[in-house]
Amino acid sequence: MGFRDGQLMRAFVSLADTLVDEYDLVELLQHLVEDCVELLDAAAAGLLLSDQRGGLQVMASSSEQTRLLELLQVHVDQGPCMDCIRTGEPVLVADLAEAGHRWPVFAAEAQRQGFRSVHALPMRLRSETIGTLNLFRTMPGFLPGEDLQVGQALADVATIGILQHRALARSEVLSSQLQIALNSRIVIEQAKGVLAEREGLDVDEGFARLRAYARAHGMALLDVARAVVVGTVDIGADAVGN
Amino acid sequence: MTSPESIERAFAAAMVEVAPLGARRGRLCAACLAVLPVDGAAVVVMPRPAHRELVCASDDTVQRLEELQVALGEGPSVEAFDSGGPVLVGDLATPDATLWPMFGAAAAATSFGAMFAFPLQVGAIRVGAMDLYRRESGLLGGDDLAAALRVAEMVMSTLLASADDDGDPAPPDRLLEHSSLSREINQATGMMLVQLGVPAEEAYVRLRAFAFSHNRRIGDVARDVVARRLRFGPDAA
Repeated sequence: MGFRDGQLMRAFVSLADTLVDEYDLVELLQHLVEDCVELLDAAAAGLLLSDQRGGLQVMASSSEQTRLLELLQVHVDQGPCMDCIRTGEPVLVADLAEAGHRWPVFAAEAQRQGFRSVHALPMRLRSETIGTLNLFRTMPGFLPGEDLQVGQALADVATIGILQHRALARSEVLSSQLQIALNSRIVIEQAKGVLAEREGLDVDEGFARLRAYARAHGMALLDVARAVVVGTVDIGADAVGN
Repeated sequence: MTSPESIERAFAAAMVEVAPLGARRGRLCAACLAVLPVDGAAVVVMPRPAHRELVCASDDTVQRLEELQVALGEGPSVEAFDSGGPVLVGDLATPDATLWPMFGAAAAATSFGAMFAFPLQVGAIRVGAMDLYRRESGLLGGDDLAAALRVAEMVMSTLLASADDDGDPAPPDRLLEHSSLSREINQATGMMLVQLGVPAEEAYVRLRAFAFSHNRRIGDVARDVVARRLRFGPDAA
């Protein structure tokens, strides 16, 4: 408990840090899903944002496997995350083995991948649900109440992170920030492609390179990604740092 | 609620039925008016930094407001392009003087009550902006906003397609096949710009053109590129 309190504090301090001044949204959300896995009794985590066109987009995931599970839900339009977005309420599934009647495709696939329970927490601002944070576990059972609270608090921080920068809670600003967030994810993917080709990397190694370069040079991840795509920076062999 | 697919079909149909004449890009504004609950529309491209070019405007007032933004370098359209997010102005009649001092005053003197500017972009590829005007003040509702975002994607698709002198063989109903966040398409764009030694925009256009001319889905071609089953050289296809 004491151990985790320390970790928790560090996670929130680091999230708060990223919210001051210029911060990097993609990095913030990636941080967040990684924090969830580290701090909570969850094996994997993913985060979906509404694209306001009636669809959802995967913004961050702790593993490729989670990303695919999130995509699957969007694709078949069923699953706890979809219900969470629709209702704006948490959707907690203690045992996927008993959820086959609700979400046949999702429940089967999630179990095939070794997951037994899912918690989908809403990312909400007043009446609008902009996304969902999803925690996957390999054991059946609900998360302890305290973990759930921490998870929701992390989701709230992410929501504020997305909407910050200007006056909160005005719907026109919310739209703008959401679209900027979604587009920044595209920039990252384009940059991963550039690095994969130029450096002969696996596309997912490209992400680690981008992060390492951004940290080593005190730059925002998004700025690095954009510069890589536009060709104004060559992060080649430079990206060793931490 | 209007489904995304029905907006796409309506837009594609309007491009042919409502505005059958002229180059495809010139018909965009008429198509916007036909499918969205707005009274004015304009499309602006920005082929080079600080160079804005009006593709079409639905009437003289819109044209004047657009030219003003081009000349002043300020206004919702400029901000949408620069920020990468929509700029939604529900009340043009009482402009916030701190935001767009010159443009705000000019817009307030017109009969338009609201303006909505959407960036036309895919990640680091930034094409321009789509501006919608409405006589009534007030913001777009959720469904209308969703429709406008969809239309913005289709407008961008059309612009990219006709960048190459209307030579893109994409049938209108396939304009939106690219769901803009499809990860493989964006990664493949990045890989191809290195393979071809061209800017991202051109790599993306080549990816689409290849898919259309081989009658394949863009996502499938992109997957082949990412899996390194398909390569584009400066000399290839």
